[in-house]
Amino acid sequence: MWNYSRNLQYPINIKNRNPEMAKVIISQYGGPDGELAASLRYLSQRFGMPDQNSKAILNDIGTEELAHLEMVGTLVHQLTDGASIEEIEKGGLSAYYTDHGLGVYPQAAAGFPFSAAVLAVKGDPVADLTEDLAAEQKARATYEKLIDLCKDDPDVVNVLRYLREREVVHFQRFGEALNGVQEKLAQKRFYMNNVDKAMDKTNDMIIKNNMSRSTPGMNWGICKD
Amino acid sequence: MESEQKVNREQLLRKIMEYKFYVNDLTLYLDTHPNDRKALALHNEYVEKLNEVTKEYEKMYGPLTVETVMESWEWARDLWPWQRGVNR
Repeated sequence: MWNYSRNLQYPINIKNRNPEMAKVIISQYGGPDGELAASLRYLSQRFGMPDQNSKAILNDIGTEELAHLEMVGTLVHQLTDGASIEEIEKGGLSAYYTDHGLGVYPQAAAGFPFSAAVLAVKGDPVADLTEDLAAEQKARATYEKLIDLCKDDPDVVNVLRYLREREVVHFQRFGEALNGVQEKLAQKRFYMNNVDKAMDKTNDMIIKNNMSRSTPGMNWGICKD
Repeated sequence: MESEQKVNREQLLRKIMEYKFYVNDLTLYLDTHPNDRKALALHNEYVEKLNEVTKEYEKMYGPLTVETVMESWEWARDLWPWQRGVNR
C-alpha cells in the first residue's frame, strides 16, 4: 500500500500564471511518455519479475513516478489557477477549458486523453525492462523539449530540470536490473535430483522463454523432478 | 512573527524533503546494489535524520501523514502542497 506524505518530492512555487505552458506540460501528466504511464507501467510490470532486485526497483521507481505525477499536476494547476477567460483564450486553452475547466485532466499536449495503450506489460523480464529503458529516455527527451518551451520562467524550468534528472537516474537503475536478470539467465543450473536430459532441456527452454511464469524453485535453484 | 514562523516551517520542510530525497535515491541504488555496505550505512544515517526532523516539524506544524496522533482533525484543515503560494 501507499502512505501519503504532505509534501511534494521537490518544492514548487510558481509565481506567474501561464496557461500556454500548462498546455504543453500536461503531456507529462497524461501523455504517452508521462508520469501516469510510467507509474502504471512499472507498478504493473513488477508482478512479472523473476528476481528480488528487479521486483524492488520496479516497485520503488513506480512509487517515485507517482510523486512526479503529483509534481506535474501541481505545475499545471499553479500555472492555470485563477486564470481569466482572456488569459485562457490567449494561452490557447479554450478547447481544454470547454471540457475540463481548470481541473487537471490526464491528457497529452495534443489533446488526446490518457490511454494504457502507451505502455506495455509483456510478462517477460527482458522485454519489460528494455521497454522501461526506452520509456525513461523518451521521458527525458520530453522534459528537454518542455525546458526549451518554458525557458522564460525559471520557476518552471527548475522543476523540469529536476524531473529530467530523475529520468536519467532511473535509466541507470533499470540498466543494472536488466544486467542482473540477464546474468541469472546465463547462469548454469544445478539440480538436486537426477533429471533426465530431455526434461532438463525442456526446463531450460521454459525458463529461458518465460522466466516469470516458472516457479521460484525452477528459476535458478532447485528443480524437483 | 508569523512570517518568521512561515520561514522556519519552510526551512524545516526543505530539510525533510532533502533527507527524503537521499533516502529515496539510496533506496533505488541499494535495490540494484544490495551488498553495498557503505550505501546502506548512508541510507540508515539519513533515515535517522529524517525521523528526527519529521518529529520536530510535526510537533510544531501538524501531521505530514495520517499515521500521526492528532488532538483535532488538523489533516483536512491544513493547506495542501500543490496549492499556489504554499511552497511545500
